Amino acid sequence: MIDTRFPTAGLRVFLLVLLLTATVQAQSSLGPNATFLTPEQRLENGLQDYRGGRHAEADRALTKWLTEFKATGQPFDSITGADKVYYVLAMARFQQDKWTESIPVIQEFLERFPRGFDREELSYLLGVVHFYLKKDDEAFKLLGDFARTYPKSSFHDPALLLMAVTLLRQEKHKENAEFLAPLIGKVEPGINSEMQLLRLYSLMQSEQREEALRAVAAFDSEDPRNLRLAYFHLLTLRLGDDLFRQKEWRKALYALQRVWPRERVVARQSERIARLEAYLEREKFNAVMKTVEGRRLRELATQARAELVEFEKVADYDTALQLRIAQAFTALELNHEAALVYRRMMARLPESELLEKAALELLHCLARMESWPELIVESEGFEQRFPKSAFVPQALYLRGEAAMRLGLFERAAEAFLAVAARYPEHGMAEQSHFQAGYSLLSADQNEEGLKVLAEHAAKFPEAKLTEDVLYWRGMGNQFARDYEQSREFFTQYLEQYPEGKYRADAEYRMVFALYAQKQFAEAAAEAQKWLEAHPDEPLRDEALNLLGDSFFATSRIDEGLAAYRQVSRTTDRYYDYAAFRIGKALAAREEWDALRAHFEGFMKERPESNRLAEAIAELAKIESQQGAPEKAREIYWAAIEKHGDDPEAAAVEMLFENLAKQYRRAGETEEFQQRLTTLAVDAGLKKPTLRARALWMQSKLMPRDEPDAAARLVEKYAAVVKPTLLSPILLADGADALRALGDLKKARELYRTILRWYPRSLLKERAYAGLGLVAQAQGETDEALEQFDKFERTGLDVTLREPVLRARAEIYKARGDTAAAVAQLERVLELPQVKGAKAAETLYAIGHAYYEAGDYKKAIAFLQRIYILYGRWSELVAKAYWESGQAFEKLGQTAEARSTYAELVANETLAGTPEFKLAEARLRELPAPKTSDAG
Amino acid sequence: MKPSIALAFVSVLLALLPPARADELFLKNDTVKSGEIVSTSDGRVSLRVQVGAGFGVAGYAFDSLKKVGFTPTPAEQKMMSNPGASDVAVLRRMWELREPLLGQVESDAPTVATALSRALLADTDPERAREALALLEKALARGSLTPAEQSALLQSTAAALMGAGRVDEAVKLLDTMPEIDPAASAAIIENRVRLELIRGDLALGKLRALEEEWPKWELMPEEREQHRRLLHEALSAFLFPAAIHPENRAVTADGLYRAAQLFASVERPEDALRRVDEILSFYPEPVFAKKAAELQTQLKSSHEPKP
Repeated sequence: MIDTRFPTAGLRVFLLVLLLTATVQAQSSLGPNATFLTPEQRLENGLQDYRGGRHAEADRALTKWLTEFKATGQPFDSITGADKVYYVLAMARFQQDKWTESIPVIQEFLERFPRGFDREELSYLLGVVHFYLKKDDEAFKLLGDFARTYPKSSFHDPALLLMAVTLLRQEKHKENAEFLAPLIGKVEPGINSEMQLLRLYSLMQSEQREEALRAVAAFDSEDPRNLRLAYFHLLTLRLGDDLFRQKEWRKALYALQRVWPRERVVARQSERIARLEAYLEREKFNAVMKTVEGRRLRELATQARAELVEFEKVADYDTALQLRIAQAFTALELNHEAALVYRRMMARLPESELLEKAALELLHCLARMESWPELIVESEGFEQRFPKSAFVPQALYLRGEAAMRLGLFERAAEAFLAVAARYPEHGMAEQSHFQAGYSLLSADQNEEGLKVLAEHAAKFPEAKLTEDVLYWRGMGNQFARDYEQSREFFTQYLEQYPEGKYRADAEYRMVFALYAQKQFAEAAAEAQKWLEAHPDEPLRDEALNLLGDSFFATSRIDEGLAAYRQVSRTTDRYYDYAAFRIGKALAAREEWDALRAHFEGFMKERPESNRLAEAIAELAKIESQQGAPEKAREIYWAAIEKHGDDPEAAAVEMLFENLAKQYRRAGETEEFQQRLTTLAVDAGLKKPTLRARALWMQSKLMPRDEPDAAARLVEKYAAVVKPTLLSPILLADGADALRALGDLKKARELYRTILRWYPRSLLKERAYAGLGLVAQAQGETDEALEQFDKFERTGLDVTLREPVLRARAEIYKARGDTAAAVAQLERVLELPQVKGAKAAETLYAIGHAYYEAGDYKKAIAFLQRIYILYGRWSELVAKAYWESGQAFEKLGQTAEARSTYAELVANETLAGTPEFKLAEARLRELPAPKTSDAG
Repeated sequence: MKPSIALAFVSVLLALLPPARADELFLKNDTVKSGEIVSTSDGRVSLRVQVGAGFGVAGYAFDSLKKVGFTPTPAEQKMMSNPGASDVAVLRRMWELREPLLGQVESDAPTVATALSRALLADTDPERAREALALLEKALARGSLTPAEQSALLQSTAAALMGAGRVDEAVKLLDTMPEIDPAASAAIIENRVRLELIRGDLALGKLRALEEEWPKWELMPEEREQHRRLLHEALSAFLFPAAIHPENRAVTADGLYRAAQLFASVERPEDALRRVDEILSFYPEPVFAKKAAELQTQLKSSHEPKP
C-alpha cells in the first residue's frame, strides 16, 4: 500500500541536471536577497521548500520559475526532469487544499509529458482533486479512467473507494451497492473495510435489508485492520432497529446480536486508532506521507477519532441495544431468552429511563413465563432500584398477580392495596383496589376484604368495576356466613345489573343463602325456579343437590329423590353426594331391595369412588338389618377379595375395619383371626398386597398391651413386600413398627414410599415425623430437624406433634441450645394430651435443662411447679425437690436448700426414693441454720 | 552411597553435561550471567555455567538480582503453547524453578503457571484441578501481571474451578472478567457459554434425580416448586448462548438443541419447536441440524391433530 516511489528518485536526476547547469550559487529562499534570485536558484529553493513542507513557498517559487521558463520559449524537453516541476507544483497546491489551482498544473503535465514518470500518480490526483471539489460526476469518471488505465497501481483501490464515495454523496445508493459488490474481498484490506461500510450504508439507504444483513455478517469486527468499528456498530444497530420497526423480529435479532457493547467498541477502536496514529507519527517524514495516500490515512485517523467521540456521546447505547434484543426475543415468543437478556441488563447496566422500561418488561416477561416467585422478587427489586419510577404501580400490580397465582393472598392484597393507596390517580388504582378486596376474601379475611370493597365507591367515584364490587360484596358476606347481608347485596346487584355477567351465579347464591338460613321451603322453591331458568349452568348439579336437601329438610322425600336423581356425572363429588343422600332416604323408608339395587348400581357406576367402602358398608348394613349377618360379612369378604390386592384402592383398610365390627360376639374374634390367616396364606406371593392387608388387620386385633407382637405381625409384610405394593396406611403402620423394632433403614424406605407415591395422602405427616425420628435415631440431626419442619408445615396431628417436639428438644439440648430446647418443651406442655405424669415429666425436663445450663433460678421455677401441682407422681416430685435443693445450693441460698430438702424428707410418700436418702444426708452435711435465720 | 557423596556425584554429572538452556541472570551490578538455572531454593539461584572445558554451578542470592530470564528450550516452548496431560512432570519442574522468583520483573512464571494448570486440567482428576487452583492462586497473587497474563490465569482458574466441580464460582469468575484483548475475549466467551451448558446439565441431572426420587412430584408443593426452579435453571443455562453470546454457533446450536429436548420432555412442544426452528434457520451446524430435523419430525408427528 505504501508508495515508495515518492518523487525522490526523479528529483535526484533533475537536481543533478540543475547542479550541472547552475551558473549561480544557490541561495536559500529564506535568505535576505530572495527576491533577486536567478531562475535556477528559484527552482532549487522551490524544490527545497517542498521537501521541507513549505508548500506555499514552493508553490510561489515553482510557479514563478515555470512562468519564466515558459517565457524563454525553450521546449520542455530541453531539460531533463521538467515534468518533476509540474509534479511538485501540483502536489504543493494539493497539500495546500488549492484543488482548483492544481487542476491546470496536472492537466498541463498530462498534456506535455505523455510518458512522464509521475503520470500515474497525477492522473489519480486529478480525480482526487475533483473529488475534493465535490465534482462527483467528473471525479467518478476521472477515477474510473485511472483505475482502468492503471489496474496494478497502488492508487487503484483508493480510486475505487473514492468513486464509491462520489456515488454515495449523490445518494445513488442502489448504484453504489452494486458498484461495490464485486469489489469487496478483492481490494486491499484497509480499503475493503471502508468499502464494506459504504456498501452497508448504501444497502440500508436503498432499503435492501436482506443484503445489508449479509453485509453485516461478512464484516469482521475483530480484524484489526477494520478501524471504524463505532460507525459499523451504529449502522448495524440502526439496521436492527429498522428491521424491528418493520416487525422483522428474527432478522432484527440477527443484526442486533452482532452489535458489540460500547466498552468493547471503544476499547478496540481506540487501540486501532492509536496504532494508526503511532504509524503516522513514526512515518511522518517518510515521503509517502506527502502523497495522496498519506493524506487519506491522516484523514481516516481523524475521522475514526471523531466518530469515536460521537459514539461515546450516544446516550444509553448499550441499554437501547439490549432492550431491542430482548424485545425481539419477546416478539418471537422466546421468553426465556428475553428474560436472560433483561436480567443481564439489570445486573450490568446503569440506571436510566430505558433501563426502567426494561425492568418493567422483565416483569411482564416473567409473567408470560409464569415464573411467579421470580416475578415477586424482581418486582421488589424494581421498587428498590427505581423508587420514583412511574412504573412502580405496574410493578406492584404484577407482584399482586404473581402472589395470587401462588396462593399468597395476603401478600397479593398488600401489593394491590399499595397501588391503590400510593397511586390513587393511576389508571390501575381502581382495579388494584378491587383485587385487594378479592385477595383478602380469598385469604379468608372476610371482614377486611369486605371493608376494602365497601370503600371502593367512595375512593373511586368514577368506578368501572361497580358490578364486580357489588357481586363480591355479596360473596364476601356469604363467606362470612352473613347470609341476610349477602342476599341484600345480591338483590341490589340483580336490580342494578339484570343482565349482568354474574346474574345466574348471584341468583343461585341467593338460593344458597336461604338454605343456609334454614329457610328450606323457600330455598326449594327458589332453587326450582333457578333450575328452570338456567338449564345449562355449571352450578346445576350443586343446585340439584341443594334442592334435594331442601326437599328432604321439609320431608318432601320423593321430590328430593327426584332432584338427586337428576344430578349428572360431571362432578364426581356431587354425584356421589346425591347417591348417598338417595341411599339414606331409601334406608329411612326401609326399602331394602331398592336400597340394595341402588348401591349395587353405584358400585358398578363408580368403582373408583373414594366412597366405595361406604357403599359396601351400606350394602352390608342392609343384610344386617334383615337379620343376615353372614351375608353382611360375605359382602365385605367379597369386596376385600376383589379390591384387596390393589394398593391404590384406598378404602380396603376401611372395609377390613368395618368387617372386624361384624365379629364382635364371643368367639368371633378368633374366627375372624383364623379367616384372616387363611386369607393371608391363600394370597401368598401372588397377591402380596392382599396378604399384607390381612397381616395388618391381624396386627390391629392384637391386645394394646402387646405392641411388640403387633409390630412383629406388621414386620412380616413390611420387611419383605415391595413398598410400592403397600397402601399408605400399611406403609405408615409398617414403618412405625419397623422403627420400633430398630430396622431404621427399612422404616425410612417405607416412610419415603408414602411421600413418593401418595404425596396427597394425609399420612404424609406421619411420614415426615417418622423420617425425622429415624434421622434423629441415626444421629443425622440436621436432616431430622428438616423433616420435623416439614411435618409442622403439614401436620395437624397433635398426637404425632408430641414425639416430634420432644425429639426436637433433645436435639437442641444436645447442641447446647437450652433456650430452643425449652421452647419445644413448652410447646409440648400446650398439647391437649399432655396432662398429669406427662406434664410433670415435661416440667422436669425443662427444669433439668435449665439446671444443666447453669440457669438455676429458672430451673427452680419449673421444678417447684412439679411438687406443687403434680404431687401424685412421687418419683418426679422427689427428683424435683432434690434438684431444686441442689440449685439453691448452687445459688448460695443454703437456707432455701435446707428448707427444700427438709420438705422432701418430711413427705413420707417419698421415703422410698433415692433422693429421699440423698436429702437426708445433705441436711446433715449442711451447716445448721442460725437462730436469727430460723427466726 | 552416602547423601553427601550422592550430591557431589550429581553435581559432577550436572557439571559435565552441556547446559540445556541459555538462561540469563541480570545482576544489580549491571553484569549478565548466562547458563542454565538448575535450582531456585533457599533464596539463591544456582546457575550452571561453562568453566573452561567443563561446567560448574554458581550461586547468586535473590537480592543480588535485577532480573531473571529463563529461556525455555524449543520442547518446553511447545509444551507451554500446547500443554497436554503428559507434560505435567516437565511443567511442574519449570514451575518449581520459577515459583520462588514469582515476584521478579518480567518473569515468565505466570505463563508457566497457566501452561501447567492446562496440562493438569487435561486430566479429569479433581485432585489435579485442585492442584491447578492452588498454583493459579499463587500466580495471581503476584503483583505486576500484564493484562494478558492475568486474563490467561483467570481463564485457567475458571477451568480449574469447573474441573473441581465448582461450576457456579467458575461462572461468576468469567462474568466478572474484563475483555482484555480480542483473543482473550473470544476465549472467555467460549468458556463462558460452555460453562453454561455444564451448568444446565447439572440442573437437568438434579431435575431428573428429583423426578426419579419423587415420581409424584407434581402433587407435592415443595418438590413441584423445586422442579419448576430446576427446569428454569436448566433452560436458562441451555439458552444462554443463543440469548447472550451466539457467536459460537456450534455451542449455541448445542444449547438450543438441549433446550428443545427438555421442552419436549416436559410436554411443551411449541417451545421445543421454536428452538428447533432456531437451529434449522440460524444455527444449522452439521450435527445439530440433523438432530433438530429429527426432533422436529418427531414433535410434529406426535402433536398433529388426530383425524
